[in-house]
Amino acid sequence: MGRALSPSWVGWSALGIVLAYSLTLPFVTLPGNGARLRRFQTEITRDHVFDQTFVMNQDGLNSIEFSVAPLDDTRSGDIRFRLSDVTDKNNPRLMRTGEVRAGAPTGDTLRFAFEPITNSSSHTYAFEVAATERSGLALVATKGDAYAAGTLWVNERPRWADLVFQTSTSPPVGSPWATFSGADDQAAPKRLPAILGLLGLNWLAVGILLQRFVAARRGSR
Amino acid sequence: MRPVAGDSSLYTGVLDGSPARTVEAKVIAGYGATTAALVVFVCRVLIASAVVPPWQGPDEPTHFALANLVAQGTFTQQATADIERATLQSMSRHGWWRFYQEPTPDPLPYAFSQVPEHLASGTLDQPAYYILAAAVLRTVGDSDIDRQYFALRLLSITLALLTLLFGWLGTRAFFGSRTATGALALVSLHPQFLLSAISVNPDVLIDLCGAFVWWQTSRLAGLQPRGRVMAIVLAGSASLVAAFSKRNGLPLALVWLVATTLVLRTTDRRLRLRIAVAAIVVALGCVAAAYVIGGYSESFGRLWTYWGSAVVARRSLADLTPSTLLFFVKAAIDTAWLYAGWLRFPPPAMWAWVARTLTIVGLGGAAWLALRRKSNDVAFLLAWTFVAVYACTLLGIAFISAAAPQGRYVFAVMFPFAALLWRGLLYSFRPVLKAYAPVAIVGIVAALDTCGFVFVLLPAYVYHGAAAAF
Repeated sequence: MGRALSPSWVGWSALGIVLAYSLTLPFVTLPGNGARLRRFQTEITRDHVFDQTFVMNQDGLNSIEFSVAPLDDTRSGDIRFRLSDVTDKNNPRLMRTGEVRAGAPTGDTLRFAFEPITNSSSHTYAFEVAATERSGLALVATKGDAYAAGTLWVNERPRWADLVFQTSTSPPVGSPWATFSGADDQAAPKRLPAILGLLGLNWLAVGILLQRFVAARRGSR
Repeated sequence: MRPVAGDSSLYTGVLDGSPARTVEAKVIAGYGATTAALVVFVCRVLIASAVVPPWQGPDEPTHFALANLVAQGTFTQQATADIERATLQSMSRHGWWRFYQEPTPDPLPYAFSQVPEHLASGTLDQPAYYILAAAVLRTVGDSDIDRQYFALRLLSITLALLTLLFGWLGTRAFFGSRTATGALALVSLHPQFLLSAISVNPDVLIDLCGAFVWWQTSRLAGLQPRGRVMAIVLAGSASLVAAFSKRNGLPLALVWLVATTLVLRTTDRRLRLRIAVAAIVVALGCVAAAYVIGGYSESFGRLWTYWGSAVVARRSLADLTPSTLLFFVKAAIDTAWLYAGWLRFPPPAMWAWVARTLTIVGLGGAAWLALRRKSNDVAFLLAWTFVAVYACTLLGIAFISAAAPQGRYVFAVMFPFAALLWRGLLYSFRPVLKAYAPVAIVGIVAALDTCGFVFVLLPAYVYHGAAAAF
């Protein structure tokens, strides 16, 4: 019993728990540009067309959410979105368009949702934001190359900045655990208990294997 | 049996026979570590079998269809069409096209020839694996194609387990228990060997033959003259089975020939002559039996052409620039460690660099160790013979024929490779750290294996395939 509770076994068990927890995390991180201290705001007007490029890493792209900030209480006109596939730079393809009243956003984000793009993985996209007139809303961007796989363009000129944005997919990116245990409306697969048992047994056996080599090292002193 | 070379005190820093050395040897040589390594392998193959959907191994549909035809005993166009249609339907059920990032064709193809970019019909000219697989299919006697597939996957797992057993026996006889346990731990945790072990493919039979030849060669080196002929015949037969399983099994015959010659170089001339004659008679007898009884007379002609086509030079040594060589070696190492889905799902770059470092440091250490040791150290000499002859033949042929190197083919000499890697890695540790070396090496390979599951297999198959194997 004393041997089972040795520090090395406690450490090994803790590592196993950490790995088991990691199985509950999503498989991949979708393209986005989040927290960064050096931010600035730039108003959406008819004189400025913003284009942010990004490389999608999953199929089923279905929305882009980006940060906005109200400049004053006066909101007018519409905000237009255009999403283009620019993988082939010489042959850009318009994929989705949308429009929203400038007065519609109530929070600090604006979501451009659309019909999912089935084979979006590995494609490069550019989403364009423009306004029909002075909107009273500003886009939030980060200074520097915060999002390495894309660039912010303003009036077709590249800038040393990126919009703050987040993409999402349908269906959402799951975790190994969620996939193993099945969808919410379905029963867990029959083999799940067996797989969990095998994972545990495998971890124990690797631990014993390592422990034998540790014991050999101690024996040789 | 006493080890041929014996374990040197590589990481104990003490002389053979000292009390400390004895305690260590007992701990490692005990069956606890060996059993744990085997349990690890069994758990891993079962988990991988649940994660990796059917038909994801190299040319699995082709090999399965051929085994099925042999099991039925009919080779008509209708029988071929039926099994190919059923296989394609099963592939569709398991989302096979999705893993190529292609939509499942609608209507579904009904023959392999309709999917020429991915599938081929194959031939029965090298029938050894198909005869074995057909025997399993006949024993199972189930008409459900998915059950038939999993029966053959189980056959592959069984052959892989036997590979571990024979490889461990050979390594123990050559290098002693500690190195054998270390090599077994490396192989049990090896990510690409795991994928090979769950594939319906003749490679598993070649790997088994390679481990068997390794074991028999170790017996040959330690046996009295009377038992040697049997060891040579058994090893020779295994290398013939490998040659008649798949083209990449051919170099095993060369390995057997060179290794046997090296072992027998110190015996008297009359015995050598007797053994050589016996081996040639047995080899010719096996070929003649297959030719006459098996009705493969036409196949031999085609086979000769097929084997010859492998050495048609499409590239000369003049094309060998440092950058080409570097790329070639890198690709060979990468495909030996982990490249799931037949070169479709590579590991992260950092993972690959750790694997490359392990290989280069390990083999470099083993080469240095071999050069520094006495020239009559049979274990090192033969382990290097197995690895160098086999790997150089296959990689050399891949180079001159302008084909991509496939490191996984080296699994036919997996245990000599693992033993050299183990000893080389141990040797590369500084003396003050040698006591920690075995734990560190096993820990690194175990971490690579876990990361391989988390970053390669699960994202590739469970997420994208939505756990098709369930």
